[in-house]
Amino acid sequence: MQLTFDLQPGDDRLFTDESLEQIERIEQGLLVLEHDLDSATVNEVFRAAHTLKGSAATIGHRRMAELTHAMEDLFGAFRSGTLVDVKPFADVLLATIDVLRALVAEVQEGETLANDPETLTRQLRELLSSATAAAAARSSVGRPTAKATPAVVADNASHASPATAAADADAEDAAGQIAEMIQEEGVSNIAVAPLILRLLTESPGGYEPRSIFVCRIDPMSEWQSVRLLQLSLEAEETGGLVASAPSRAEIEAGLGTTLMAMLVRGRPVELLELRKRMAAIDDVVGVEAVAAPLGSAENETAAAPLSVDVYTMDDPAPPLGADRTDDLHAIQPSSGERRQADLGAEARGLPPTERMAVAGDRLKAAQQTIRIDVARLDELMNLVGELVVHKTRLSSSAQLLAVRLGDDPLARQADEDSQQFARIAGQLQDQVTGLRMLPIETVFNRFPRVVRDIAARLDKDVQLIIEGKETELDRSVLEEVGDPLGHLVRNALDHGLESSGERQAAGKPATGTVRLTARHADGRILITVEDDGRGMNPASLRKSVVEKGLMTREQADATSDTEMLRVIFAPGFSTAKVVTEVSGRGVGMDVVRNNIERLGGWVDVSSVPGQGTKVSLSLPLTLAIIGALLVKSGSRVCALPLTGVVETLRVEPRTLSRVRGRNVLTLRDRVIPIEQLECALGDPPRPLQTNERGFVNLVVVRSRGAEMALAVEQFVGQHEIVLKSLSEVTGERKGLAGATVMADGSVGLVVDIAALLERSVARTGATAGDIRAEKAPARSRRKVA
Amino acid sequence: MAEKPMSGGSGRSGELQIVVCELADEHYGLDIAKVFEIIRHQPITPVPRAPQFVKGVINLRGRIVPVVDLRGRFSMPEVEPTKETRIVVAESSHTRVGLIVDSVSEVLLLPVDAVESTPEVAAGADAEYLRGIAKLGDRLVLLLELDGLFGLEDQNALAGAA
Repeated sequence: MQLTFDLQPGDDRLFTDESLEQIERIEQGLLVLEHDLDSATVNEVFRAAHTLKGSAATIGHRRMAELTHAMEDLFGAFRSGTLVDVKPFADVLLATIDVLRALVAEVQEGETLANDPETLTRQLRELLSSATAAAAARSSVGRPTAKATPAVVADNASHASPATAAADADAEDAAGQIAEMIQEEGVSNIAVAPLILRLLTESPGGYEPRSIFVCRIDPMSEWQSVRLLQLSLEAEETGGLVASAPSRAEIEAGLGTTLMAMLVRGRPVELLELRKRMAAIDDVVGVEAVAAPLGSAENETAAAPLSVDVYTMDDPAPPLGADRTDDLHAIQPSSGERRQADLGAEARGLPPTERMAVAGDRLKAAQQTIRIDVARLDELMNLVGELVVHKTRLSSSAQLLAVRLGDDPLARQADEDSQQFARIAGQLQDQVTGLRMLPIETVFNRFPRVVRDIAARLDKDVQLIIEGKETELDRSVLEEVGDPLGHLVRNALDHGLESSGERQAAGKPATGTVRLTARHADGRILITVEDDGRGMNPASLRKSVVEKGLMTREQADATSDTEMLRVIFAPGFSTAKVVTEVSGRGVGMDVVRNNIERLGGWVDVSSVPGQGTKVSLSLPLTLAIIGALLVKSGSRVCALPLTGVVETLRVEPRTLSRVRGRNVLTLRDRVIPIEQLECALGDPPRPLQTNERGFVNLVVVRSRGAEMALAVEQFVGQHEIVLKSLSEVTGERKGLAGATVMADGSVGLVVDIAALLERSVARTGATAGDIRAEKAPARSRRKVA
Repeated sequence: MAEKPMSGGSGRSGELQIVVCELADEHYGLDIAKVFEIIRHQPITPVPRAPQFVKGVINLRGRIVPVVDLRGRFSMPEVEPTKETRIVVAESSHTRVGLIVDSVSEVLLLPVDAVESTPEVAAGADAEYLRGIAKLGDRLVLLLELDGLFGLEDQNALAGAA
């Protein structure tokens, strides 16, 4: 089915991004609330649901608006304290989250994706009403129940009926129009029109500007009439209250309703202030204001919005369709001031701790941010890389000029200018690189849900602790790290943690703990996944590798316990059988290691039997800029990422030996095969090249325990290089990680050391270990810095 | 591929604007809408295991672009670059690519009906990269179809090059 929404072109992205943000906020909140009904979190999810509902209604996404409305109502019940335990609702609410994501996706896809949100909406409503009824029955104090609310509204409507009869058609039209405008924003104010009509007929307009305020009170509020009174008092305080429905008398008689309309006189600034103060009253979930029609003669042009602005507690800015705020901007000089004013109003009357929380939320919201397309950032990064290259060229030109002209004012000027340019370019590079940094939170945030779901499936009791989620790293790494981490977390739950019964038998707390941490260390990011489960036993690992034929018994016995743990990363180790025999761990761990190493990272594991296992990942902060050793090889410059470079050597050819027709280097008892770099990359084979002084230049590289020495024509130096993603132009090429632009503007090839070693081993079928038996004698060599 | 529509995306309807390149005394035309820029010959970084006609990669304002020798592609003898040699940077359906040509002579506005479908004689195995032939006086201009210039196999080779 083709779906269309009321959106400007391009707004769909905005809507999607914002909605997904709110949905994630709700999801995170729910996972907290499941264990701890924390009032700040309840407020947060409630506001998020409210905002979501508003956005959905604004674009005319009815199914989504209804579902979010039902959700909001349910949260409202927690907010008012009618309901006190989230657990029984958690599953259906989380299911709602999933459906909401599908509903949001519909906006971009333009077709139906969500499976039957209507049923879910009904389910939520039924859950709410039965739970509220139960709560009301439990309560010994007589309080207005949920059932009372519709009755009151009905009463209200009937009260309005005689007025309807008396009203002229114009007023009725105007009321309808206004109600419609408000309904578009607030979704569900079914009873608004009669209220407004009543106001307009009871207080016919003159020529002074007046506004109609429509306030909604949380249906679950136990203090509806008190709130109504507070609202009317606020309005009276401005001195401009003309009339209200329900009237003051009705309220004082104890009428409780969730909807109130007021006709207020005043200057726009005063009315805006009033709106804020009203919204700050507890249990008030929405305040909307529209201009009332002027005297009946002019009411053709009635109902022009003064500022129809849905007040969302969460975000002082309107959710979408920002043009509605134009009037506000005219009155209020800056949005920053407006936010502060909001804070004051909203925080008023709250206990200090809550006020702090509100202030914190507001500060967060006040961060001035804009969204930027990632492609644009990449392009920016590209251009900055180019700028940096030209910076180098410019300064060498300036130096050349100085040499040519000697002590000349022009040369000095050129030198100064180029230095200034270099400084600015450097700062720009730092800034742009910084732009691409994101907190790892974006990856970590998916795990509470993952852990919850898996724990439920495995019937284990698990708590997840996340530390350092604000740690920042480059987008490029962030994108790649999610899957390996997911694997590790799942493994920890599946194989690491024991069942509650086992844990108790072992004298451990029944609830298992998985700890996910991130922090910066030595210019890299260190991520750990730790469980307090059964741990791994080196002895049984030894037994298993021998059985699997991965090692001989002698080899296994010779391997230290620490080294033995690393066997879980070996390809071929992980099969279901081994996993069950060997205290868990193993599924796809070699894949995890491959992925991490491909990113220039490494994996480590430590474990204490009976106490748990800890897997650590160390990753570079960015993949875009890497340290590399530049070498000349086969008439081109190649860059070898430093993460894979062990050392560089200059050796005499006679010190090398030949084993099975291959040149090998013996280095501190290790026998390392040698290959010309360009040949390893795929150029036709050729004999070992020496430099003009008769030495062979070698770079020893290592990945995943395999080593080889690459012969190169010349060492160029060690540089930071900007790795160019080639995917936009090309596919992937085995042995090459990409390309980079050198200081002189030419292109250098960036070598994928891991892939090179893999190829080399596959091609020769020989590893260093195989050759070790035919060890050649070690000779003198020189190491270069 | 003679039945391919002639609405190239360049110029007004009924007209085709092409960049004319010389290649061993033959004239080749490229739809101007597909041409990004024309640059002088510059050092090219060779890429291992690339096919014969892929000369390597160049840096085009920070972007790595593979470069193809059109002479090599058309099995003509390769020549050393001269002062006239140009690299025409164009975009095929997926890839931005540099094409080495002997020279670039002019930009022409052609009426679409001056373009004839490729004659049978030329329609050999290579016909998929020919979009048609334009007769201009006594000159023949072969219009290149960029997407067909690198068949599936070549496209992969090209992808490998950079």
